[in-house]
Amino acid sequence: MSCLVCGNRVVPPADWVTVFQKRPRLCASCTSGLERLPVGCDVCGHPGERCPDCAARGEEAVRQRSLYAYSDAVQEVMARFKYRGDAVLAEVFAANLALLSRRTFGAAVAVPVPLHPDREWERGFNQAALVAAAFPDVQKLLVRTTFSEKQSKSSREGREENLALAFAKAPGAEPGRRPVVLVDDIYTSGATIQAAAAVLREAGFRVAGAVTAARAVRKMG
Amino acid sequence: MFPHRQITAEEAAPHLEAATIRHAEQLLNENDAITRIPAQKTICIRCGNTDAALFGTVKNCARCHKECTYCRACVDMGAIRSCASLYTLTDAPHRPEAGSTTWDGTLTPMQQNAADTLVRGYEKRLPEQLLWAVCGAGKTEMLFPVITRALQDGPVALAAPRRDVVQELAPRLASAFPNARVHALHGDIPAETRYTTADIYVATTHQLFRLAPVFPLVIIDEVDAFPYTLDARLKKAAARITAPGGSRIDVTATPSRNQRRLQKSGKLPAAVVPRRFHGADLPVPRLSWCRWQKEAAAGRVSGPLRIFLERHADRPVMLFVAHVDDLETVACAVNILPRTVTTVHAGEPERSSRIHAFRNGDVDVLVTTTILERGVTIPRVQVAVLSAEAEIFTETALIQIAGRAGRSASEPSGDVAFFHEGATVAMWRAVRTIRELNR
Repeated sequence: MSCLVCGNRVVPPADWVTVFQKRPRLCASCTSGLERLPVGCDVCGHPGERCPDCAARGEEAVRQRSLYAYSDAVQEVMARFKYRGDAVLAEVFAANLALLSRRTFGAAVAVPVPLHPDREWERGFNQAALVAAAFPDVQKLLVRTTFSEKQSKSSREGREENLALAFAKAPGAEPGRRPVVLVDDIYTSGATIQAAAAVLREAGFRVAGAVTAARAVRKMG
Repeated sequence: MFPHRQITAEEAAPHLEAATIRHAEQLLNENDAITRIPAQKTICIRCGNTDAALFGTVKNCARCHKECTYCRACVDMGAIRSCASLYTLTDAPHRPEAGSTTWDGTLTPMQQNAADTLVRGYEKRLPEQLLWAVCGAGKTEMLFPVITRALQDGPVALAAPRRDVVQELAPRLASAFPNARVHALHGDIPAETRYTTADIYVATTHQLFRLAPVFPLVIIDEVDAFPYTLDARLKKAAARITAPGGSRIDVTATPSRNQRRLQKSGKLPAAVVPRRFHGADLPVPRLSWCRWQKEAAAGRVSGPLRIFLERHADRPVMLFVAHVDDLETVACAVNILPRTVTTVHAGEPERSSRIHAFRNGDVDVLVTTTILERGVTIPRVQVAVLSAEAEIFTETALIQIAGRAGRSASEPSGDVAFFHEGATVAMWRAVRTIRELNR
């Protein structure tokens, strides 16, 4: 088996644990580039104290957890995954993301944050849907209505303005018995997740929280 | 649309006044002057990869709503889905006037002979020819006549293994062919010149993936060098871009044993140049036992190495080592002597400035990995290999390294030493091959 990211051969340690585990998809050196974050803020999971942004959002704030810090290594993987179209790299995140959601929010329906159809056509896939692939139940309950600028290139004020009207309930989506969890690839300011959650709540869904593959971390100290 | 290229709709979109890539794809599909090359599921139409493990799958493609595959081997250039296509101009414009260019330099009789063989082979439409010319024989000049001939029929592609070589070759060709447009292609060229039309393309081997099959003559320089032999995909790419009925010339100073066998038995048409342009013998390496590592650890320079350095006190010296980790050890050891030292390896950010300093004579000794085994010409340089028994020093690598010495006409001899702790077959073979060429 070769590493998904660097293509080198993956050599799992020779012990009994290895026999009973699934074969790892990443080599040791690529795995070490993925940095798990300690949970700090109870709302957004940012390391350290509760952040002022989350406090300002009050009751409306959606609890969210991220798998990894958006480090240079993760950024490189994300660029290849999203912009160069290496869809297989979703496997780097998918299984652990489903596990993280289950442990934090319990059983829930995964709702990938949608892309505008034009953007999705261009990319060939919705990266959020691919990283949500390991959830037992994935439903497309949302649609994107505006073809906004790429999020990664806009400022914070721009983002929130962009996003206020960006989402709508998908036709035919009805609240079920279980709560929903939003799934996305990257968490930056939380504006996307907030906007999407607001639409779902409006439609009567119970939003348990959100999980993302990687998140931006503020400079400490 | 760009002549001589094959590109994706994504790459074409910014040049098409299309708002979206979907629109660009539509425009390309509707244009009769453009040929569409539909992608396939198990072979990459760009890089020729057929390794099933290197294909990724998208379960529900947002474009075709079916299961799509894409090649992961060349995904860094942007994935090509099996539902997408590459686009190429059906009729590439041709400027026969570029072929009117003549190079007015002179070739030695031996060079002329080889050059004529290549032109005859090209006119006979031989699919594959070998130019086997020793290091420092003037390979590039020998190619000028055949390039001149081929320019009458269409554009010429010349592939070289490394960017350094591409950047050195392009200006030489440009000055030799003033009427032809020469364009260098490598991974680091600005977007605005990426699709410039030219008559002669000098490309790194990876850039061959972006060229269309329109070249009557494709020349692969240093055919034995990394990454060409390592990567069968590049071989396929060279074959692919050759126009139907076109000819390919593989250029090397050190053909593989297989190539030599084919050449001897006449199965591979070849032009062989066993002499350097100045006519002198190639320096024959001498083998010398030397435990430099142990001595260096004790803070000394081992005897044979010290004698070598003292003998060539007034000449530039290149020391080749097997590993990056050895660079500092050697540099420290040499520093004991009154010499200025610098080191070079593939990941060295100051690489070109350090080589430049060595070339200018600001530095006496250059310690390097095999990165500089080919393509560098430094007058009067003397060469030694440390730990020549290391696996990385293959027969071809050693011949190339020996070929660094004695390249200038004013000082055609040179000293080449293989310092070793146990001679290897590769070392003996290198010496034997050089002796054979000198005969």
